[in-house]
Amino acid sequence: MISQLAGLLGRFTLFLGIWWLLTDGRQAGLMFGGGIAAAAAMLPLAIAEPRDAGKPRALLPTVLRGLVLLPFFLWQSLYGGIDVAVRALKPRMPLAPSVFDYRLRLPPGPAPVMLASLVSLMPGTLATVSGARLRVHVLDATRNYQDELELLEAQVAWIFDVALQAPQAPAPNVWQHSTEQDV
Amino acid sequence: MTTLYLALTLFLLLTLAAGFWRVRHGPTAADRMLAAQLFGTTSAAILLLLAEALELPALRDVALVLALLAVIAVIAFTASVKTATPDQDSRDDR
Amino acid sequence: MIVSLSIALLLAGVGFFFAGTVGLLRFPDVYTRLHALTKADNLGLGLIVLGLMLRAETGAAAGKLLVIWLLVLTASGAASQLVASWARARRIRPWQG
Repeated sequence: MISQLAGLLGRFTLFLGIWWLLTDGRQAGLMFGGGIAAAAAMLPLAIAEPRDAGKPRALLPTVLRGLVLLPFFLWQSLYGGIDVAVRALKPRMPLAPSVFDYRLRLPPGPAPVMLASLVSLMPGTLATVSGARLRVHVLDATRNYQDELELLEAQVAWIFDVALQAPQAPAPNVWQHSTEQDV
Repeated sequence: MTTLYLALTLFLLLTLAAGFWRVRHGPTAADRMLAAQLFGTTSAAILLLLAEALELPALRDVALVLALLAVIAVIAFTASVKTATPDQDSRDDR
Repeated sequence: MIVSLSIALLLAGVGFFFAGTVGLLRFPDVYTRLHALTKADNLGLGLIVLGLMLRAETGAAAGKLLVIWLLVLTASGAASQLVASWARARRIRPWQG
């Protein structure tokens, strides 16, 4: 009950904050915004999915933890942008693309999707979620990406406050060029 | 400063126009859809610069809406073109 | 000082947009082109946002620019995943050198 109330209050604060920023900090519409923010904060109570009932996800702490790590992600995405810009602008265009599967340790839900989005901003990698795996397309097959992916996955787990599990997906027989068994 | 903003806006418009070559030539429908993403981000940047140059803060809201609409276009594309014949060019593999 | 930093950020941002478009035109397949768009263009927008934030009149205006960028970043991250999985479902094979 307490945690539900705290979650409600956290969502309300977050939505009101976004409203305040989007209206350039004007006071005039704040009452209206407060009503909308309250309605939006209560929405998850009305449409809560049964499988989420066990552990309500706290939005505000998740967003705040995300903001803590934001500078790191932005710094990495600076490298990512420079890397791809250099490849695009070099006359010989150094590309050696490859695809491999990364076995996720994150539980299913929004966390793997966020991980895929972040991986796509990092240097040389582009990811989509495919069941209990991340399908990673890389621009430079000669590099090893495993450590970076594990670090990012641990950070996403911290942001969403979930525990990493042993990988659910069976170990792949072929690591490289797995596109042949694509579905 | 205003001149700089307008010059940058013009340059961004040119990169946007160049991107439409990809829409024209594909070869796959996914390639054409990439242009929607390009349009979303570039037009957001253009409008943010214009908001500053013309001192029209409301253009920032337009930037936000355009960028999000571009993503909705991508979502609609991936949801609706499921059943169509794959627009795939195997010659592109080599 | 602030002004020249702001100008440098704006110029760098526009430069990344240019690189993104060059990648979109030159890269060999849809996946590599996605790399170019998601990374270069979002970074370009980010640098332009930073450059404009330095010149924003109020804190709220600067915060709004940041929120716009974060929303665009989130949305285009989702969009790039959708396009990539759409292409995979269509068995569009990645280019391999």
